[in-house]
Amino acid sequence: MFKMNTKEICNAIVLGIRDYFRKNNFQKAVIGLSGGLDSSVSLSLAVKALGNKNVTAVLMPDIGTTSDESMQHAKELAWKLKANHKIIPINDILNPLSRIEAKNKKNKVYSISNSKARTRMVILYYLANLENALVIGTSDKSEIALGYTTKYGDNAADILVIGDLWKTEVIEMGGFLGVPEKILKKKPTAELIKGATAEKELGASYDVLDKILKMHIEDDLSIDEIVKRGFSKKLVGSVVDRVRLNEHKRRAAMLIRVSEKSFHGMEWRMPVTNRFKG
Amino acid sequence: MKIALAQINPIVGDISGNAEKIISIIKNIKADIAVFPELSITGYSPQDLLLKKTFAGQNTEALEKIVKSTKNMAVIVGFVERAYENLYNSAAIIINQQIVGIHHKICLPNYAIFDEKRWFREGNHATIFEFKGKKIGVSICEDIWFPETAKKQKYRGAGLIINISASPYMEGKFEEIENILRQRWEENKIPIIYVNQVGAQDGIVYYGHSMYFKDGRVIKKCRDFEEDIMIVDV
Repeated sequence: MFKMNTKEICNAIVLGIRDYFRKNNFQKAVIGLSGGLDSSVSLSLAVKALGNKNVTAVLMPDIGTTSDESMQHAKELAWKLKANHKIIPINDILNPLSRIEAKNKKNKVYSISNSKARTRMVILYYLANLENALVIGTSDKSEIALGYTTKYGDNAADILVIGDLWKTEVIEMGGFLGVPEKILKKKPTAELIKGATAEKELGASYDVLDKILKMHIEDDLSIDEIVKRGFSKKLVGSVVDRVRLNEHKRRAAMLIRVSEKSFHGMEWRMPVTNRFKG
Repeated sequence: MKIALAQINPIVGDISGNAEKIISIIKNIKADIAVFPELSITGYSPQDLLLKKTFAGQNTEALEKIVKSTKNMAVIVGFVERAYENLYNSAAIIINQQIVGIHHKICLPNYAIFDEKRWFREGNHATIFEFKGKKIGVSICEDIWFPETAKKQKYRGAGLIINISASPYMEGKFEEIENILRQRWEENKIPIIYVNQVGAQDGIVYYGHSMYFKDGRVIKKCRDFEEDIMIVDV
């Protein structure tokens, strides 16, 4: 869909990763690897930037939901990249939560689904702390835009390496980096619920969603202007609604400002990479 | 005249480390002029570190050390100048251990990732200086994106323009900056030395691509996305 200068963008991302680690005195990274597109491309970029010895891929299956195919693809990629990998099922950590009673069954399914992503975050940060490593997040620009992430779950990380690539661009980048075709061609899924695909949940293919998102976010077009370019009003309306309603997922917790100088994001603009001690 | 384009990767807030790197290049380079990127003493962008008074103070002390290291040559280096309560995004023009001029950035970008008006006041003077019989205009990043500064520098006799930048990467940026320099060339027919920061700061990637631009084309350029020092004969 998009014709991009993949090699140049890859070099920019690699420098972005490398300098963030180097300038903040970190060498090692941990990353959740599902066997899907985003985590495979993110791992490939991390290995290119930091070296295979410095990156640990963590496979965290939910036994009963995660497919054997996903696990196999993840393992194959880790072997191909010669990256360390660990397999830590989430079930034993997650199960005590599922025993907590809930009145609303639908909400419970939703809560457990999100807790799967949050359990993976807990495991990743546990390992990161053990190894003085940073956690590499795997959300792409389409997911960030639509809020198709779990707050403080898969969206919790230290650095998002494909966070400025639309899903369709991630596929191009994967091809450039030599990610196997079978991973690039798979239907995207969060695998929080068995059999669900992202495109079924979101109501359109990523080809279509990315076109709408690009017009809405990068070109600032209104719903009517996007509809005039040949998209259904219902779909465009729901995409724009998703972007608006998920703003909170792109922010840290909302701080209530009551002093002259607060840590509110509109006011406190300190660099993270900062060696000034004065 | 030999000019060194020092495309360095400074670390934000590491004032002494950045200054040491600059001084070591000055001491080891065989050139008449050494040029360093925008705010290269502090690293770009220091953001709200600029609100701390000690920050500008320490960067001025570092500049003084750099000034002392410039024997028998000229150096253009980016720093923060505090004048009373105002801060300026500045380029120091140093010749043989003397600051002979300071350019204040005129066009402060305040869009997309930029918020320079939060910290800096705008300069209002199209600076030129004279070195070895040549008049040279100095500008900072966005100044070269608009015609006025270069036009004034030409009017005042400049035969060369040195622009120091901290310009971030996005797809298509290499072509875009070359087109901008081509426009300035078409308007003034003056060669341009463009020195851009390289390296990443909190997810913003500075691409380098420092170059010597003349006769409507790139004559020579530094490597992209890595530190590089290139000497050109002007």
